Amino acid sequence: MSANNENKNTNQALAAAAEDPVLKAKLLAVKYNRLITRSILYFLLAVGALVVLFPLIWMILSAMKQPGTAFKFAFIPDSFSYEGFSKLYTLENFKKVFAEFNFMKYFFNSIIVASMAAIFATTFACMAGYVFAKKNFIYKDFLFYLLVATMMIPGMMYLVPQFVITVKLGWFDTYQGLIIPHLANIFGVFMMRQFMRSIPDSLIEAAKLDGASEWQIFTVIIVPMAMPIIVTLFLLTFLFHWSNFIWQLVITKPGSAILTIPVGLAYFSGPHGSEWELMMAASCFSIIPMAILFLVAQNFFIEGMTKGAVKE
Amino acid sequence: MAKASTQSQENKVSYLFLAPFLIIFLVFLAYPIVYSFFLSFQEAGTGYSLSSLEWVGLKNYFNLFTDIEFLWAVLMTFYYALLIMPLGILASLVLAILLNNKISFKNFFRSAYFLPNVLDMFVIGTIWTLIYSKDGIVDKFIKLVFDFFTYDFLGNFTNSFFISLFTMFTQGICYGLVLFFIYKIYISFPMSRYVKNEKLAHLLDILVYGVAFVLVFGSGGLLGGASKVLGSAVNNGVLGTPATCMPAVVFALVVKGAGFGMILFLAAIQNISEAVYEAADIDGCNEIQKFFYITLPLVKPIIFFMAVTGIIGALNAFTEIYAMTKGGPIVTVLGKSLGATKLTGYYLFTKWEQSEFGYAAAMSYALLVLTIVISKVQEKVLTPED
Repeated sequence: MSANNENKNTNQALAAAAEDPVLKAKLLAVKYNRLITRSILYFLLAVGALVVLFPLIWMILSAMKQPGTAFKFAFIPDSFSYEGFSKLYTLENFKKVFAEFNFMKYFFNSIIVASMAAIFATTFACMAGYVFAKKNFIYKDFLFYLLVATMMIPGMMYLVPQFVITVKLGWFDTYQGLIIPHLANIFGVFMMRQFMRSIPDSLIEAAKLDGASEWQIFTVIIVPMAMPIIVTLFLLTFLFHWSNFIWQLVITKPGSAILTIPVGLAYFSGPHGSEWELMMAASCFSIIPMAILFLVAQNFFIEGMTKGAVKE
Repeated sequence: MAKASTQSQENKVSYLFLAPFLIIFLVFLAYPIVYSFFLSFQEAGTGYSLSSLEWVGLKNYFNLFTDIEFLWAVLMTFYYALLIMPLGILASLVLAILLNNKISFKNFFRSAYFLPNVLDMFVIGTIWTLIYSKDGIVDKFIKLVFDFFTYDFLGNFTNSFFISLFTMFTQGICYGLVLFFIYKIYISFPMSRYVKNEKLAHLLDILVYGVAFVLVFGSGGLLGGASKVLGSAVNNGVLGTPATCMPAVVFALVVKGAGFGMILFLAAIQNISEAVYEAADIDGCNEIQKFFYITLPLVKPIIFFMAVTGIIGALNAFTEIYAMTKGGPIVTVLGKSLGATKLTGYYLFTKWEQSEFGYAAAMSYALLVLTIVISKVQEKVLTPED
C-alpha cells in the first residue's frame, strides 16, 4: 500500500467521520503522525545524500575559489550579483589547470589505458567464458579450480612479482606495461560463463548444421546474445583501469610522458602543494567524466558490481 | 575413433579460444605467485637492482618476524579493519532501511548514495585531505568545539557577559550529563550487590566510583585526554594527530563505500516476504522488534560477506593511505618511531620503493598465509549453521 493511498484512505475516512468528533480527532492524529514520520524520513535521506556527496560538493566549490582562498570559510557571496560571486569564485583555475598541469596529456593517457585494457580484457574474458560454459575439454576442471584459487589471493600480493616480471620484459614506463599485466580478468570469466550457460545449446547445434565455423558461432550467436553482460564487464574493467592507481604509480617514471590522471595528480601535489584550488580543479576533470558515465549507465554499474558479491 | 578425433578437435578449438586469456593469466597471475616464492629467498645486492639478486635463504623471513615495523603494520591493519567493518555495515544498513520505504525520488537517492563508489580513490582521498587539513572545514569545526569547552568564562566574564553566561550554562549541562551518567551506573550497580558486608560495600562504592570519577574528570582523565586530542587536532589537523587519523581515514572510506553495501542489503531486505512482516504485525510486534527478529537474521549473509571483504580490503588498503596520510603521523612505541596509519599494504609499498624486492616478496607471502588463515577462521566462525 503506498503512502499516497494511505493518505487518500485517511482523507476519505476523515470526510466520513465529519459527524463524530472523537473519531475525527483520532484520524487527524494518525494523519499528522504519518506526516511527521515522513518528514523525518526525508530529512534523514537528504542528510545522507549530503554527507555522501559532500566531498564532490566541496571539490567543486573549492575548485572555483579565488587563488589562495581555498581555506577561507566563505561560500555565500554578500550580494547575489555578478560582483558578489566574482569576489569569491572564478573559473580561471580550470583554464590554469590546462596550462600548467598538462591535463590533456594525462587525460588522453587515462583514456587510452582504460579503453584498451577494457576492450582486450572483455574480449579475452568473453572467449574464455564461452569455452568454460559450452565446451568440454581436457583439464577443464583443473583450470577452473586454479582460477577460483587465484581469485582469492589479495591484489597487493602481486605488486612486487608483477613489477619485476614487467620490468624484465622491458615494459617499464610503456603503455604495454600499463595495460597487459592486468588483462586476465578472472571475475569477468566467471561472469561470462554464468551468463552464457543460459544460452540454449540448440542454437549452437542449429548453426553447426548450417555449416557455421566455431568462430562464426561465437561472433554471430554468442556475442550478440551476451551483449548486456559484455557492456557491463566493459564498463567495470574501464572503471577498474581508470583508477588502478598503485600499478600506474609503480610502473611509470615520475615526469614520464605516459602518466595517467591520478598519478599525474599525485606528482602535481608535490611541488604545488599549497595550490589547493588548482588541485581541486584538476580533480574535477578527473572525476566528472566517470560520474557522467555512471549516471548514463548506472544500472549496468550497479548490477555488475553487486552481482559478483552475492553469488551463492 | 571418430569420437576421439571430435574430442581432440574440441580440445584444440577450446584452447585456441582460451589462449589469449590463458597466456596472460599464466604469465601475470599464476607465475608471479611462484616467482614471488623464489624472490622471497633472495635479496637485491649492490645497487639494489634486479640484475644483482642473491640467494640469502630464510634471512628475509627471519628479519620479517623480528621487524617491529611489520608487526605494528599488521596490528594497525587489524585496527583499521575493526573500525571499518562495523561502521561500513552500520552505514550501509541504515541507508538501506531508509531507502526501503515508499518514497518519491527513490532512484535519485539510490544513485546519489552509490555514485561515490565508482569514483577514483586517489582523487577522493585528495579531496578528503583538503577537508581534513589544518584550517580546513573539519578543523574549523573542531576548533569551535574545543574553544567552547575550554572557554574560561570567569576570566572573560566582564567583557562578554552573555557569551560567558551561555557557555557557562551549556558547559555545566555537558559536564553535568557525564556526572549524571556515572551516578546512573552507580545506582544500577551498587557494590552491595556483590559484597555482603555493608561497610565494606560502602567503602568499595567510594573507591570504585571515586576512581571512575577521577578517570573521567581528573587532569589526565577521559575529558582531559579528549580535550588534549582535540587541541592536537586543532594544531596539526585531523590527519596529523595519531589518535584521530585512523578514524578520519575510515570515515572517508565508509562515506565512499556505503552505497555498495546498501544495494546488497536492499536486495536482501526486498527478498523478505511481505507476509512475514504481516504475521509479525498480527502478533503485535513493533518496528524495532521486527528489525531485530526478522530483518537482521535474514540479512546476516550480507553482514558476513561485508566482514570478509572488510578484512581483505584492509590488507589491500593502499591508495587511500597514499593519498591522505602517507603512513603518518609518527608515533613512538617502545622507543621506535612508527607510522600511525602505516598499514601492511603501504609498508609493502615502502619496501618496494627501497628496492627491497626479496623482503617485500617474503612479506607478501606472510600476508597471503595470514589472509588464508583469517578467511578459514571466518568461514568457521561466521558461516551460519544450516
